[in-house]
Amino acid sequence: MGEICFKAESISTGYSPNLISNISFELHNGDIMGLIGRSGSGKTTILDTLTGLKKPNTGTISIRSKDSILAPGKAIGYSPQENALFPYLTLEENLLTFGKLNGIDEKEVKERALGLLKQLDLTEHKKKVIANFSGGMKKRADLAVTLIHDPEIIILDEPFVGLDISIRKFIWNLLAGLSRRGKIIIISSHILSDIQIYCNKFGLVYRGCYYGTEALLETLKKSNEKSLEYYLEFLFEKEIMD
Amino acid sequence: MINPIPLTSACLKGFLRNKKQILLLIVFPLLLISSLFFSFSPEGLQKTPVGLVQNSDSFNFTDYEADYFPYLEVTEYAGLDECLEDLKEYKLYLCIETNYAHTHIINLYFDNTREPIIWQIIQKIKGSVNLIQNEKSAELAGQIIGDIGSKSDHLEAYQSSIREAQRDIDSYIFALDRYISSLRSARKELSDTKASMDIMVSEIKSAKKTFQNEESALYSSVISRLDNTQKSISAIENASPENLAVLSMVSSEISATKQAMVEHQSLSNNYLNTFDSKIGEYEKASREWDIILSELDREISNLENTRRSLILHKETLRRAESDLELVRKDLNLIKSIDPENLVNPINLLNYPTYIPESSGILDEKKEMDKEDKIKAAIQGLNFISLQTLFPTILILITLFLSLLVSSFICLNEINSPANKRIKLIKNIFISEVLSIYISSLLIISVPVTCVILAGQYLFQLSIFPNLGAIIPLLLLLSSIFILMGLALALTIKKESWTLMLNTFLLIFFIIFSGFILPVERMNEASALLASNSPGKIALNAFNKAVFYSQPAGTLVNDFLTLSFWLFLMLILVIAAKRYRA
Repeated sequence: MGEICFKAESISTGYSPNLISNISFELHNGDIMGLIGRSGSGKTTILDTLTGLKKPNTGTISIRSKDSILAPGKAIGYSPQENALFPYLTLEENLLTFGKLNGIDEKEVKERALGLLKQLDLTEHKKKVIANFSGGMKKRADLAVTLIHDPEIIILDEPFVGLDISIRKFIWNLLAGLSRRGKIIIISSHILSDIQIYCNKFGLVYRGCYYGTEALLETLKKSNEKSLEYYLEFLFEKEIMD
Repeated sequence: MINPIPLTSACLKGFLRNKKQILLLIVFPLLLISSLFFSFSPEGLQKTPVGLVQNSDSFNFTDYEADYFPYLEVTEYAGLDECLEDLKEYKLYLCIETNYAHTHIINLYFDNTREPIIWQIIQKIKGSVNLIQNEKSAELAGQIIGDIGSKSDHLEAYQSSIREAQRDIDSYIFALDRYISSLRSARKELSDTKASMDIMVSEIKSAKKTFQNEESALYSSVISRLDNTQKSISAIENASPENLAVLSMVSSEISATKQAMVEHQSLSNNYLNTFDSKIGEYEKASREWDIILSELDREISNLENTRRSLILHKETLRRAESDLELVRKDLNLIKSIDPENLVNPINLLNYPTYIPESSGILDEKKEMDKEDKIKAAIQGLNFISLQTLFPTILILITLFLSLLVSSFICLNEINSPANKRIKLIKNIFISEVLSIYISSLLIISVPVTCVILAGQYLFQLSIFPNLGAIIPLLLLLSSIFILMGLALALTIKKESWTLMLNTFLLIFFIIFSGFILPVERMNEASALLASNSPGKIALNAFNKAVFYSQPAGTLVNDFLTLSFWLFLMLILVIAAKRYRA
């Protein structure tokens, strides 16, 4: 796939009092956007809207390649906060099911699964039922299923909850690799240090408003705070105090 | 459209790997079905505790207990109040009180809070009492018929005597006929002879008269001529005396001739007189013959009258014999009547139209002996009752499983973590519904097949020959309830609420399908709803197919109504999906 542009224009989503408005961004191949905000601020709502699970109240979302508009279903790989897998199916069966549901033939799914399992170090667990997986394994499995149809845009909602630092690093490295391959990645996380390190684009959900990369960096500049993490921590504390 | 097979496979695997669900929706229903099938005894009701209060010395209930009431566990009580007290403590189902007032009276005091089983017990007791009643009455009637039989033998002897008398009369009539015939021929001969004699005498009389006339005329003429001749001779004598001698000789000759003529006349008259006297004698005899002939006629007439009387008597005897024959036939008819039929001139015989070949229970040509009758009265038609119960069980199981399994699978999918990922796939709805539908159908098919096999082999129903109608029927019914369960799950999403609503729905469909409450007892609106409910329609169609082997063509209306329900459910599913979206 060549040039991809994932664009959100003046999106407003959610319902009052959790209405988030003014969501606008444009992502291109290799971009990793970190979506940050306090718990319950509406990050998942935004991600659900971006994936097409939720209809936006206003605004448009488009995925364009050079000469065509892509359907969000096949172009997006979404890993929700909770692992979106069939718990009573093996990892291999999950991969096969979702691969086939995304219109890929069995042979190709198997080939891709083999590569993904190897990449995610899950080959020996492919015959195990998901319900018996540990948290880290589940997340990796979920990532494998997210990537099975080779999406151009990968959206991950809080992928690091409950994971130790080694798995976090493993996943970030994987995502960096995918980004290098031209994939667009949107990731929501509370681990602001990781976001600051790995992401080149940002989105902040703060008091029902969305602040894009430029706005955020400008504010950061104005505040004379060098670390985004410290600045956001200050902002969030202020929000709690208010 | 997205291929539904991967999702179906995932649904099925997800369901089958969840032991709790397998236990709840496959194992438990199968255990329930098995226990249901094996808990009903084909022997019918088990021993029922009843109280007995005997106020009649002439009728001892306990004498009949072993033979006619083996299904009762009888406890004797001194008084009715004590018995009723135990009944109200649910120790007894009913109190039997025997009394005598010109006739034996059996009072049954029953616990009507235990319907409908109490009616089955009462029905059985009634059946047994009827058997005793019939047997006793038949015994008495048998005695009476025996007496009538001996009277019939006497009648036969009377008939035989009458027949003998008839034969005697016949021989008399025959003899009389002979006499009459002889007399008639004798009379005829006599009459004919007399008639010919009369003709002859008449001819003789006429000849005699002619002769007499002619002779008299001849005499007169001869005498006159002789006289004239004499006168002529006298004249000649006077005129010519020379010839006197000759003339005198001629004259004497003429006188002599005249004398001879007179003498001849006299002789002739004598002869004629004799003739007349003989004719007179004959005429006298002829008159006597007439008297004899009329006497003969009289006698013949008398004989004929006697013959007629004899014939009349014979006819009277024949009629008497015929009457006796009729009486004898009537008596024989009475003798040939089964005493039981005499006791029960009007019998209400029930012939169920569904008689399974394998049962051999109801062979109307087969005469039931006493033991069979008692057995039939006690057991009723339990095997057929169980057979007729089977479709209700099958339909209920299909209904129950379809609704619950589809709800479970749908809820599994809705509440599955994987659902969020599934929802990402565009136009997945049809495949999602299809996968739930196919999975539910496949899961349900296991217990339903088990029930069908039980129906074929345990209940001996002719299911296999009618599979052409039964499979589409069950498919339609399951589809309706699968979609109903699906629509519910899609609308409510929450497991506990969905299952609770499913339970209420099941109760509703059980009540309004005539499974528990008969449709016939409902008011018009409810009956209309119940008789068109999918359960009821499927039950009727199944019964038609299994019990009467009706071809699929005759079930078109049922299929159409079920298809309408299916269409309605499809709309409901789409509406639920829209509501959910």
